[in-house]
Amino acid sequence: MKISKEKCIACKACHPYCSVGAISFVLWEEKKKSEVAQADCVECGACLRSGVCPTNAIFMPELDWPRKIRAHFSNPYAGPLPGLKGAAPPPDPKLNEVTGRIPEGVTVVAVEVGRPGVGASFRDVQEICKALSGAGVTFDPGSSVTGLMANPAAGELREEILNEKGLNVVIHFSIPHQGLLRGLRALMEVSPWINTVFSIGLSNRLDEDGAIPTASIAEAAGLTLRPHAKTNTGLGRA
Amino acid sequence: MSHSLYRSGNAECLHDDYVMLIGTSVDRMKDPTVRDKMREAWDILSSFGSHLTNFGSIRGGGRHRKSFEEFKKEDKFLVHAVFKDRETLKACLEKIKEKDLGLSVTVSGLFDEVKKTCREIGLTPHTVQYSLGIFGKTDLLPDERVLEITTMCGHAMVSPNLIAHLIEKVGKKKMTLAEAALELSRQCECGIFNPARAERLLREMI
Repeated sequence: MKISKEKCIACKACHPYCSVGAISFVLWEEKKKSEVAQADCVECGACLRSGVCPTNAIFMPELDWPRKIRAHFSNPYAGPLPGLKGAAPPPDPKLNEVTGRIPEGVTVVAVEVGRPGVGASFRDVQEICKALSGAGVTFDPGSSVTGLMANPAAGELREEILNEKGLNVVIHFSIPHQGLLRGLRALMEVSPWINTVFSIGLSNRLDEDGAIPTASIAEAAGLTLRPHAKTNTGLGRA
Repeated sequence: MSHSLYRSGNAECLHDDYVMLIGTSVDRMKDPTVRDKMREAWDILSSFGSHLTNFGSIRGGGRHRKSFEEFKKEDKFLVHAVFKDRETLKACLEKIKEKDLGLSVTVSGLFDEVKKTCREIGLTPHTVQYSLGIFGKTDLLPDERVLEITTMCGHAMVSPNLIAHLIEKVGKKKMTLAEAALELSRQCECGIFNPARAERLLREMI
């Protein structure tokens, strides 16, 4: 995102709307003007959509590769990048009673790097991918992050994107329940070494009595289930 | 991405926050009968009118932008409604079950309460997506009270700075709490933000 210096009247109205706090004042031709720090901006478009600029000074420039991946991982309207060629998108727990893509005995893991609201560099995303790869994880071929990998088996991303960032970069993988503990431990081991935050979401078929089959595995990894969850009520039909 | 999964807060704080997601696959929306079912779902949601604190569709905005009728005409494959109490959620879920729409319905909220609600109306939950919390450099996060508000927009379009800015405006009596909550909700592009809960949380912060 950018702000036209010619149009900006330094009213500061846009500053609080930036999702990552990247807008500040600079001096331009001896006048105070608002500017978006390009290194920090994740191209989410929140400043523009807020509609608070009284002079329409905020604009979205044409983004070149690799900067355009910032928008794909941050702007709700940009849509995700495709995964590896021909691969279906990651399984959706919201439709699982219809698609059956999350079978019994398997957990679909989403590691949401940069969530909540901090953002992440792809260098940090790569660190997490490498740690998971070392734990024997196979990344979901339909995930956007997998599509950006130079070497999916090693969790290595393409060199040219490592300095880019996104607001919420999701690493997806499916893993049999018996491999989940190792995957979660790998995440806990890499956790102190990255410069951002990440959230972990797990999707499972529920047991017949409504219990979560992997709760004990998460607890064995020293993790606590949050009280909030997304529950597919089973109403859908093919 | 799981936009409504990571709402911050303990069980007490989340008691007035349930998001219903009604959907089908993008491919099935080509089938006119499925499109009709989605429209029927909108009719059911609209019958709960003011009991819903927000509603909308994926990247379609929330109630601040469009009416039920406008959303209904858009034929989106995923629609959302936000409930501030379990009783209304239960009544709505029961109505959807009675109509037998065949659409997938997911409820994002306190797991134990949702499970209890399903049991009370004879539903057997199929799949769950749950969260294990936040890891990494957590000192980069804002205060937990702020997170309780910001995480209600899954795309992270509600910034901590905006909350501070609006609290200041409310303090200077330039804006009411309800207006501040609505302004926060306006930033959410999918209508899953809960302005009623935001208003309560803002009141507690001031």
